[in-house]
Amino acid sequence: MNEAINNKLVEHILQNQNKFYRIAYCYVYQKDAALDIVQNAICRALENHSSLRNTNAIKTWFYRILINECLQYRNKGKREIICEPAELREDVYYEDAYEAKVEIYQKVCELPEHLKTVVILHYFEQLTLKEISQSTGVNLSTVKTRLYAALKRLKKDLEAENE
Amino acid sequence: MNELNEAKDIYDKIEIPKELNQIVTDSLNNFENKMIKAPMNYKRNHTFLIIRKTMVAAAAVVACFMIALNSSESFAKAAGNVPLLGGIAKVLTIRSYQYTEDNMNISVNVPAIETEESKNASNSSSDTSTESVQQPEEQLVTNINAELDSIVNNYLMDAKSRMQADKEAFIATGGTEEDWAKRDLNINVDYKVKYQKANLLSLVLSTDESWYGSYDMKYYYNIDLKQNKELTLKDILGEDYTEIANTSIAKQMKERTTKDPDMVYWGITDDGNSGITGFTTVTENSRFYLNEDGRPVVCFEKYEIAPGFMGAQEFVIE
Repeated sequence: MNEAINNKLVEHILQNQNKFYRIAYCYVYQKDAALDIVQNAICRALENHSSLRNTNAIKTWFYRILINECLQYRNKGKREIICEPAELREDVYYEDAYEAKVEIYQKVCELPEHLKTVVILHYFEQLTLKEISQSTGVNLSTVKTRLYAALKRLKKDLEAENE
Repeated sequence: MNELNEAKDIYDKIEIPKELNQIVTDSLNNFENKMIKAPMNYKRNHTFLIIRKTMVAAAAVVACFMIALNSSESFAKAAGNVPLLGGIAKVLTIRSYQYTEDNMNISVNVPAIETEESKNASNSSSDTSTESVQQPEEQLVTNINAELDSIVNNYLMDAKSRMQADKEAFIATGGTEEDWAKRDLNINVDYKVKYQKANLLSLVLSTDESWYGSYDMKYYYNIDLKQNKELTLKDILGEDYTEIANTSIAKQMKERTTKDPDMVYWGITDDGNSGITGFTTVTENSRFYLNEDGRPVVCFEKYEIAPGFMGAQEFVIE
């Protein structure tokens, strides 16, 4: 079997587990739920690694699985997950200097899912727009549109807040 | 947008739980193990299919046998004459089968008790062609056999419906048929003869499902074949059985908790802190079996008198 791909995949997972966790956390704001998602994503990836032909695609391919898992988790658990970005206040290191950052971060979290994904991947995970397009299965121009829409919205929100 | 780059700080500060690494490595290892087993799994499923087919046939044969046994005297006689081990009574596996349904591996051994009397009764009745009057001792054994049979049947039905409900929930929450099929589900019914000497017989029927630890059940039967009765602790320990058993159990509980401080017996060793009643006293209905030395072993289900991690608890009453 594609042992090379498998090894690469395992390596990729081990190296980037913290990133995966953070992304998942941004969707569910719950430690256990985020851990579940990461675990599910890993299982799914290992089970389907044969569908991966090109080792260069591992990064975006895994993000895609992870994001699907996040969305699935959110959808299936709509009733049970208490998703309140406000809870974040307890989780982050909080002092005056951080206030502005926290505020923006929270605004990002409050974005609708499809916009949030783009912002997180681009600004926090530093994926290129092309990689985001591959990770989300959305074409490049849509990714761009979403990114601009997201930025516009954030700006508007922040201005409204500061007035 | 610069502010967003700053917000990344916050994002990067999302605390990574220390379990993460463990979970990740576990998932990876689990999968590796599965990969090694995978080719075998295929083969095994294949044999299961064959087993399943043969088992259906075997079950049919058993069914025929049982119908014949119940309806034909000469057949009963023939069956009764099959040379068997001596002794006043013996426990036979009346049905034994294994099959796979969906991906449930079902393995069942149903016991039945046969006494010398019941054999003789069937012999004599056929020899003399007189009406067979069922002896009281036979009645007890027949009742127990019927009970064993119905416990097993009800259990299998319940277990299957639990599995089915679980499967529906699994599918409803986004699982796929393929993922479900990858699970190994096991349903087991088995029995053990704990003690058998002279006229005493102690038998334990146990049922369990691999995905439902809390549905494990054990049924205990202690029978005095001479007196035709099911034995209670009182019959074995005498009038003072509650005191004898309670003292012994409390003493053993304390010994065990001193040896392993993690252990707790509610109501006895927790100074009443747990607020759970736990063990109070044995009764005539307390479950027990007889060990090899013929001593009663009082059994408690998981969760009954102690936290679940301690599992089922047993106490030998000397």
